[in-house]
Amino acid sequence: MTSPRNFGNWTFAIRILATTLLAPGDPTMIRLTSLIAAFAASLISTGDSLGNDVTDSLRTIRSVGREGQGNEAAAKASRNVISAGLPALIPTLEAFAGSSATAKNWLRSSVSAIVDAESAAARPLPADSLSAFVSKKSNDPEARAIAFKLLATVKPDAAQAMQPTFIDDASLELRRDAISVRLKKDAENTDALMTLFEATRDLDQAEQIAKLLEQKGKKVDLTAHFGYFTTWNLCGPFDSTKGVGFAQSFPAEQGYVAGKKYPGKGGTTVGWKTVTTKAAYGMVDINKELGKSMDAVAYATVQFDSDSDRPCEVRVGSKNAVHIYLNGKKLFEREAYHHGYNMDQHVGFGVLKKGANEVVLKVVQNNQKENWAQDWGFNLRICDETGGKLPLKSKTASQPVSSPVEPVSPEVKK
Amino acid sequence: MSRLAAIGLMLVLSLPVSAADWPQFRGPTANGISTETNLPVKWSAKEGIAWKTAMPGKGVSSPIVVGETVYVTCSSGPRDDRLHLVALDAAKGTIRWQRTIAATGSTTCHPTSCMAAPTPVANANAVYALFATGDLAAFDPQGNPLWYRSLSGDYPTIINQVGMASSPILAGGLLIVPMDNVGDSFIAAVDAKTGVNKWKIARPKDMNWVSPLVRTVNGKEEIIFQAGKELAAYDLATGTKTWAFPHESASIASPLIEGEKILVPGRPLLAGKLGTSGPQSAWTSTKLSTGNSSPLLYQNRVYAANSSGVVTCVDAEKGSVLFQERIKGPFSAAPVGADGKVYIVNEAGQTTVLKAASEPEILATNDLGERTMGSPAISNGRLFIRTDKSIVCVASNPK
Repeated sequence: MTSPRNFGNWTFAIRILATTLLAPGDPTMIRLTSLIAAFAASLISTGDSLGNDVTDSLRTIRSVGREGQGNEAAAKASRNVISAGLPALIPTLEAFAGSSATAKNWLRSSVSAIVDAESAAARPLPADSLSAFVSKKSNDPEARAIAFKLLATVKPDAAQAMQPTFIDDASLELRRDAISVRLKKDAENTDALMTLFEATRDLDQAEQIAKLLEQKGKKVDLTAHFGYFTTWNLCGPFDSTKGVGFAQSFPAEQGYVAGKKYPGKGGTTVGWKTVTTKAAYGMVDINKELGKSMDAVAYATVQFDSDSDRPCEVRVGSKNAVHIYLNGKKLFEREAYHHGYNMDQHVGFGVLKKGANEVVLKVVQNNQKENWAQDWGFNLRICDETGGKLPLKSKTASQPVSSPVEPVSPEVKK
Repeated sequence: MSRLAAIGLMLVLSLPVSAADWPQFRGPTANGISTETNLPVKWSAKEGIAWKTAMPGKGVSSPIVVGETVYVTCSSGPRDDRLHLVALDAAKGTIRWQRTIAATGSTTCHPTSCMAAPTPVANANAVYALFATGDLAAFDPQGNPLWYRSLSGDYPTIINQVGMASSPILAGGLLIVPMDNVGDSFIAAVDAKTGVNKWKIARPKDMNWVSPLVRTVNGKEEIIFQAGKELAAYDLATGTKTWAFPHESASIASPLIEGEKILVPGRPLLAGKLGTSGPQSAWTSTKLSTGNSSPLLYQNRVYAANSSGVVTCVDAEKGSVLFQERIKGPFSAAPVGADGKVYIVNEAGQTTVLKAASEPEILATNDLGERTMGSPAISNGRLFIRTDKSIVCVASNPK
């Protein structure tokens, strides 16, 4: 479908021809001019409605909600977008911006179907448009990664030329692939390896680069690279018999107060204990630090400074049930016990304030008897949306180490 | 009969019979049996192969075949978070279309599994793919999206760190979605046209990798779903639990129904008649524990391939052991039966072809040389086997 501007040129050309061949005022001339004008108008308006249709359709797709809400309309809208063909490709990629994960998967399928149709018709994809889309860093990272893959199919040289610029990209996919390519080239270059190490966000890639650096005699700190806190104030155990502790708030949940004591599990009195873990990736073993307990709650807090107000992701790994709080606000909770540990398995989204901040993590152990259900621990880091650590300064790490309060048994208290 | 009617009847009768579909996990009747004949017996990585097509990722799901299209799911990426549905021409193996979605749920699983573990299901109008992440997508046969759900997004406490593998089924215009797990555990019926919940019933919070079945009783359809402590039935229309049969059931190997007979894998395996309110046990056996592979009931014999590589065959009426034969295991794929043969694929990609008989007779041992976890599909005289890297079409006359 050509643009309104081109049709304007057409109608002008036909008018010139008509005025050459026909006298002014000739009825035929008048009829012809009217016909041309009407035809051009219909085509221009069709061009407008095609654009609006795609825009409206993309809006419909982006509106899909929970539990299939909006699916019927989205299916029709998707068909509309796909049938619009190539002109809808970039707008569909643009529609990723601000879309939910659900909507993005609709859009992904629509892009794929458009590309298939163009391929079946032996029409090439628009390399320049794709390149421009990828280059614009404000475009959605996932959409840029899709566009880059498409660009690589039509103009592999252009894609290859762009790739080195992605090592610090917001798209984790583009970043990872760019780092992989550079690694093949620069595996012997220590400075280049350090740059790649700083850039990587993937655990396996970071470990791979760390190993290469170690072979070059340079040791890097993987725990620090990912931004794990290693010094914590711990308090507990508190009672969670029959699992009540997950939902129950204990006073320690309000955060660290130096010297404060609380009634603990089994009639004990507990207080804050400052611990530093040397375990890989900042794993804190609560059983080791506070003593082994089942049906128990522990709190871990860390205080730190942020140099600005900024969004953040508080990412926790734990086999136990957890609550995550930031500056007194609950960001996340998950009541699940002993279903494996994974890096960043629980994520709370929050906002840091410039200056002092505090994270409180509640870690709940149940009473399963199996050997694999005895771990009580966690690790935690705070990062940006790419998983990169934020420039935070832990104050807990620099606090004087507080003397742990030994639990006092009910018998002694008497 | 009028001449016109006779001509019409002749035309109808002369229409070509369509190839037998294999539209879901364990085939058209969900029991691993095909009525096809003249099936291949012998093949290798280089012989007897009609085509072999590389896949964009790995998978433990089974391929399915509807009409002239093979559908298979795969997963890929460093986090196994790229989920693929591939549609291939069943005759040539060429990829007709491929759709990729990004995982919206956890991709944690046992090292032997992956996110492409549930088997898709399809009919002439649509194909439905469920992934272990809780991503559920429907496409028409041309690959146009019909609908999509992020079940993990809808129900964020879904957890199964070993990885989910139960396969969805179609019944009465509904897609039955089994999501047993240790968080928000449920079985749901969603409208097959829109993906919207028709009903969603809470299930025990436990890990379970079994796939549901559908049967008709007294004119009404019900869903039968096995879990660790019981076999339960749910009214298809409403999701109301209609009966529950306590049994130490398997949580990986799936049950099957053939006519009035039911096999319920477990400790022990139970065989019996499936009445209106549950099984009536005819016999039980502790010799038919399989681990991952679902047992097969074929030509009145039960075949169970266990993780030690032993195939046990028992008389389906009495439960008496007919033979036990050691072949090379272990097995994740369920055996399939057709054409008087039983095909048992081990995890290394070797298929042992047994004669379906009361005495063991190995007709062939065929090695594809690639890791294979999914059960084969049978359609149009061919076997479709998906390995970790490819999908292979095995034919008696490959060219």
